[in-house]
Amino acid sequence: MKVRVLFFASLREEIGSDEIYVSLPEGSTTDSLAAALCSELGDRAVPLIKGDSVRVAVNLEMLDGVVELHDNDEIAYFPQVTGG
Amino acid sequence: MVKIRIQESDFCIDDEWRKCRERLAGRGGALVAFAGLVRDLKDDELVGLYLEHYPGMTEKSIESIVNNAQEKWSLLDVTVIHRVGKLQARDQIVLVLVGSAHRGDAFAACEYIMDFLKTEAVFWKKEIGQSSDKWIQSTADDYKRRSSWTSDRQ
Repeated sequence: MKVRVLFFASLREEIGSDEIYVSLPEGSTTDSLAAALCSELGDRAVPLIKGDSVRVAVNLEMLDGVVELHDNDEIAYFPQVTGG
Repeated sequence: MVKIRIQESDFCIDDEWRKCRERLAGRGGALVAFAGLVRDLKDDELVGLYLEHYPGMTEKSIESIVNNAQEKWSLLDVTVIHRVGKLQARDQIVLVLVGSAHRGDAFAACEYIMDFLKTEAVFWKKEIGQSSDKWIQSTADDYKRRSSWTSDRQ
């Protein structure tokens, strides 16, 4: 399956990309996606993807814990929102 | 009716006010507007602000705030317009317009929506400097104002 990954704000700038597509085995979770991203983007991405301050949304819903992903899911990584 | 718009362009408060009055059509006895402006930038080095959003999720986060306000107060019409992109000092940044049968509901809901917009809405702000840029955080006062709604304020 393939998922779409978006990065916003400071994460987008630090990673140097706003969108990537990642192929994952069926049954993969948000944890497996984080591991795949760290592997693909290198060591510099580890604190950005797995850091305490990063927020994750799956299909526009804030992630609380770990969920299984499905084909065409949209996963966004971003820093704490700063409001309007 | 609930209207939520995210846009780069400026908004005209007179137009939104008139349209809201038309929709209220005699049912509404109160219409409260709040407009947020970009203050003069305190540092000479700063040239403006940049607001980023997540299309789809930002609108959803504002809808959720407005839904919560509708559960607390009796509201007839809510408009939220938020600008994104590059903004300069003295620009309009946000409009919250709340119509209700009575002023108490309209005043309270307008303040509630604005307080939650400042901390919960999916936006990121960056200060644009002449030589460097810096992402900024919500202030302690923003969180204090939001928290006050979960204690004894109704």
